[in-house]
Amino acid sequence: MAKHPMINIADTLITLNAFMRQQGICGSLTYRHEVSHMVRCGRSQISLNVSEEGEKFFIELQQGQRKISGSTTAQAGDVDKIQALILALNERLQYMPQVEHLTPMQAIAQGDLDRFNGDEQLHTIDSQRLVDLFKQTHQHFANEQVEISGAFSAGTYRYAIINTLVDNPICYQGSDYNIELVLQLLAQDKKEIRIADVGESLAQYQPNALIAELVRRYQLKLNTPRQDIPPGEYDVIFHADAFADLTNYLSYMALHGETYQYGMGMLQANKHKLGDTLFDASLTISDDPNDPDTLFGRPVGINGIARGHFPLITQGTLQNVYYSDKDDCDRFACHRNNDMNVASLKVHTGTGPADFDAMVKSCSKPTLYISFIHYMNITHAAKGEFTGTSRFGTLLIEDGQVKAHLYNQRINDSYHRIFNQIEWLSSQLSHVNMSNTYGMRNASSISCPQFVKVNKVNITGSSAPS
Amino acid sequence: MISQARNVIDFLTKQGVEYADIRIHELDEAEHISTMKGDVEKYELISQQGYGIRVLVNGAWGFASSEVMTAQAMEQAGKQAIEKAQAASQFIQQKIELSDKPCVNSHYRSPCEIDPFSVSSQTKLKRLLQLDSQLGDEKFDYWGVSASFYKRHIIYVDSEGSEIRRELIELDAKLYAYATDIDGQQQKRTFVMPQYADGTTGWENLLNDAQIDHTQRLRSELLSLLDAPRCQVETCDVILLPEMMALQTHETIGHALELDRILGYELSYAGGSHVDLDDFGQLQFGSHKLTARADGTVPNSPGSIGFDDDGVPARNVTLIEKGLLKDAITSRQMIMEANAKAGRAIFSASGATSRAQSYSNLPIERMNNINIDAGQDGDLEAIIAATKNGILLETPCSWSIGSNRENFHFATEIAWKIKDGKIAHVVRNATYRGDSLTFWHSLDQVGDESTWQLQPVFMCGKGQPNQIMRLGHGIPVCRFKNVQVGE
Repeated sequence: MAKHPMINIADTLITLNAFMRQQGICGSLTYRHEVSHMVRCGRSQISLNVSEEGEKFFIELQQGQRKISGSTTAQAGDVDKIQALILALNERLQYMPQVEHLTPMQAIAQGDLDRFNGDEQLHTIDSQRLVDLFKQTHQHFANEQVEISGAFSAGTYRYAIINTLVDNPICYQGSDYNIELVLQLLAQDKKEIRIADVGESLAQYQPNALIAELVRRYQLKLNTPRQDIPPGEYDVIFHADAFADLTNYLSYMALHGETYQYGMGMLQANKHKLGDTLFDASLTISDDPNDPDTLFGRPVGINGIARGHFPLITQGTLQNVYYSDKDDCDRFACHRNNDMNVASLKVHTGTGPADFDAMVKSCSKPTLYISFIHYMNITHAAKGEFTGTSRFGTLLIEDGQVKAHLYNQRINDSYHRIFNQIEWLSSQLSHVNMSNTYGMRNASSISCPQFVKVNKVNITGSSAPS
Repeated sequence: MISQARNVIDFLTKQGVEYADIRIHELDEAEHISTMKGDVEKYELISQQGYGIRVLVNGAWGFASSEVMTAQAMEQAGKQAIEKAQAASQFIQQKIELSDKPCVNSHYRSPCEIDPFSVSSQTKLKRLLQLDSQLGDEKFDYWGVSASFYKRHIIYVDSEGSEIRRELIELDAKLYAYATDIDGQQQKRTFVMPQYADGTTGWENLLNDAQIDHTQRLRSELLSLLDAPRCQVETCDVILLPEMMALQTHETIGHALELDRILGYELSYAGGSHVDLDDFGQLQFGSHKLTARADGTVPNSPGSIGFDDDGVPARNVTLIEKGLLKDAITSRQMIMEANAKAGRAIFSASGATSRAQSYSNLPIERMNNINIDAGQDGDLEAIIAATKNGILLETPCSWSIGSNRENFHFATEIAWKIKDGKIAHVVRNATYRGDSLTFWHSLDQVGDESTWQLQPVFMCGKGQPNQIMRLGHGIPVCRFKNVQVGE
């Protein structure tokens, strides 16, 4: 029986680690591998069908208070090539100036922490299967004036870490797929609707359910008139896709320990302390690789730090911030406590409506429904202010009915206000893809209530076509 | 390596593909160095090698990339690309056609005096730490310098007979400083080192004395921000300095005029465009003072690479002439598709803007150098003197743009209030917003050649899988009338 590829990688890392020790070199090695398949659709046809395979070794060497790093593409068997890079970096290391605050390298986590979770079917998936989703969607809407676009990405990723303070590497293999499917309604002001999906095994992929949901949203959009609204404060129900995006930004602005220490985010170490109640009591956010409600649970970060239950905000109170980067931690005399790069955040559910119909019925007063936020960006970091526009279906709900659809609305508000003005969170949890495709594949999602109602959100207008 | 590339193309041709090309990154190195408060924060060397193979089968693209450099692995990747194209061809409405292009056997090399990779680590660190020391101030929280050096040797071979070698060197250098203002909130000043359009891109740029001047200017600007009044909500004239003009041009002209985006290929992710095919030759995009170009022939810019990744020689394409929309950011594929869709020949030739981030990416329409012609409204002082009530804005702090590029909201690092033709004071936390077409129609002053500057951009994201692209914007200082600021 063939050895699992990660066993070969582990052997290579052990060999390279032994080499560094023999040379009197203190350092760490990280191996990363990805296989990515993507099919993209635009104008109701496949525009791109690509496959990428990447394999890299990352090396970090430290001697006293000097440090250097490097990386190279290499296959697991390219021991000579990696050894040559180690020696070249070690030679340059002598010329690096000393950095006073740099503390000695620390041992990575050890123990029963290897996980080989990847679904092989996603590693070798036939791209015909990815194409078929768009083809099937097209067949479903063949008689409608719509254009279909979207992307379907699937693949696997592996990482393994070792350093010269330990004998054994820690290895992880995972897999994921993510989908977005968009309809543009050509005869209805080019309105757009979107559905998305994310999962870690092919068994979770349900194309018929996805298309059925797209049809439901299509019918809803088709049957509502367009309306314009004046700028002002509105109660808003955010769909999970939108609220997860807000949470993702909040995590960088408030839960990123390095940003917190540097004072570059909305929470600053000299003003906001762990234990302070900073958000609405209904807000609880945690990260736990063993929580069955989350996807992609990784017991060890790419930085070699072991991960467990990690409460971040409990009933509005700040419990923890992530410290992932050793250099920054050394600067502020902190200790690494996690790895934000592999976080699986969960926004805990509340008692609000679980499905769309119940959500609509719950709105007696005029309420906006925002399904997605496009191009969010921070306008004032220290105040947590941001802007972005709604997209893919903005609705006006009143008297328990969807009254109208709106053109994309611009939001100018702050995370302080948004996360302090929560009226309710849905009792139903949903997974939202957060993987970006910058750099190497690294699956990420946020588990988020299906809907979250926030009061008095500042809407500053739209550029609705006349 | 070139013979290996030819062999792969021969192999693919024998397999019956309609078209094939291969891009091999024979050498692809980067060196990143950054400092913070007098310390070396990061020193990193990156080396990679790989190739991407693109084939056209049954009118559909297939693409595969690999980092295994053997002939056998290349053939395997080629076969995988064919399988991908065959699968894609099961769902197409219109077969992909490529416009004509010259068959070239050529070479392009970035203009460079001193190869940064030939300069020792010690020399580089010494210079960067010298710049770092000039930036610091006791009132500052953090400051530093970062420099990234890139060197890429790329071989391109296609089944139409073109063979191109490119040797590219790029330099991306920045200064930054952070300090806490009187309200206890952090302010920052950053500066991206501009390039001289007719200059060179090597290490010599960092030795230039102008870098010391920039550290002093940045230091003084950040100090002046700390107790400056906040931006007031009002409608007034705005004057955009080069870094802000680059962003404005990038987001509301560049992305809006990418032809794949106009056709709808970016709809599910980045969005569409307010521009339709019917608008070319018809739409008054801005005032008559606006002439914009997609100019891949600027001698020295990260957006100038000699040939695009379709193997088309760089061109200078007029996008907007005296406000009238004329052309787009185009590739061989998209102009054929757009002309067919419009039922008329809107686009006559590829604008040579089909580019990929690296060997592992399929080329798509990307900005090269999206430039605006200098005008005749004098230098910066003349434009300020002609402004009764305005605000001078510089350096992007945040940007958010509508999904069809129809509106925008930008925040800036620093601003100066102008009253009665004079700078009155520095302003903190300035923002401005507008609708794209209305905004470009409000352009009423365009600075002369003395204000024109090439701004490099190294972090433009587009596409899925997302690709980060290098490009440039050659822009003058411009004034826009009656803009909403401070919201």
